[in-house]
Amino acid sequence: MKHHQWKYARISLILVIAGWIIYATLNLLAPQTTSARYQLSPTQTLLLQISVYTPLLIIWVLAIRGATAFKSYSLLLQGGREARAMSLIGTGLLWTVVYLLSSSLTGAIVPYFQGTQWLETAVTVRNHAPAWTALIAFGLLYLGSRRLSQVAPFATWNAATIILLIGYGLFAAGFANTFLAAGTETRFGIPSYALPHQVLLFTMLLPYLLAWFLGLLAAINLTRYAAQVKGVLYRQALRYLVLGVLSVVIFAVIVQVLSLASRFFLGFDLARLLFTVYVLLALYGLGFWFVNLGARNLARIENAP
Amino acid sequence: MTEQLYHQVVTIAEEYLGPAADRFITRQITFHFDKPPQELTAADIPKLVEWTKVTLGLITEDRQVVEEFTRKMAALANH
Repeated sequence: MKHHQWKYARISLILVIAGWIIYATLNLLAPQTTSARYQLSPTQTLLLQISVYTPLLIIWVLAIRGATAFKSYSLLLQGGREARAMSLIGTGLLWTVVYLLSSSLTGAIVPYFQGTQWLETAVTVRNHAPAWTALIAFGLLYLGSRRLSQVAPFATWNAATIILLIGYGLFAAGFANTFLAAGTETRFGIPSYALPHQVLLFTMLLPYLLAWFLGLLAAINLTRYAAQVKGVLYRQALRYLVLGVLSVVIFAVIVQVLSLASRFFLGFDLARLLFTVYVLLALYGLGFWFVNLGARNLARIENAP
Repeated sequence: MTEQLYHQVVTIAEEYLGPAADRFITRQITFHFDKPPQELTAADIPKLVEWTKVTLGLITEDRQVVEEFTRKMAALANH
């Protein structure tokens, strides 16, 4: 069977690996805030960093391969009813990879501005880039998932969605309130933010809250599409794809909630933080692996001679 | 009539291949019969069934589904 690949798949993989090298180098050469914080020796710090960066590379590669496999699949659908929807979802998945890179790289670069006039700018970029990237990613996933209702009719809004909205509204209000009440934190000379909380509420927190909700709606839409769409074999192939996209959305939301909360108002000890990061990263990577598998299964139908 | 037959084939295929059905059948006809899908005739159905059986074998290992699909398609040759 022919194997069609998105023309930017290879360059995307190269960029992700380059991003990982830059990220690891920035961290290895950075002032050792981690060792100071947890009183680790240089060797212990190096081992700790290697134990984090190696799985991170695997996750990032799985992520970009999953996203590009989906994008490649969506290109096979040209002219089809679901083509535009799948293309938007594919682009959304690519943006979730951009989120992974932007959140890591902007965080890694901040220590280099310590003691300079650019520190506040670097902190502001670190706080905003991931929030807006997440909004673009989940916004595209939502738009794509919504369009799938043109292929297999389903309703996004029903009693269950309203209950979810109410629950999410309470969570969002509580999260925003805790954020506003949190005090100023400066760790090893790096402030957690450089703008007033009232400004960050609109420029950073609101994009996150909107992104997470759109991500959840996208997950709901995909589940309903998978339940409604015709085709025994199509649904079998779609199963892994839906499972993968759901995992990516849900674990991306959890990672973002935890990383935001830990930066602003939660204190984790090292063991708990590492365990949480490993588990979430593994599940996140597993989600992209499922996306890859599902996209390849669906591409087999489209490529069948 | 021939266009109607093509749509009947696609309708059956949709039960198994969902939104991919139209593209799948179009590809089968243009690739193996070298003619536009709308020109499909009842005489082409047995050969189309055979090709579909082979192609579906590359997509799924579920023989029951393949048999069911191709049996329904084969019935169109008698209409």
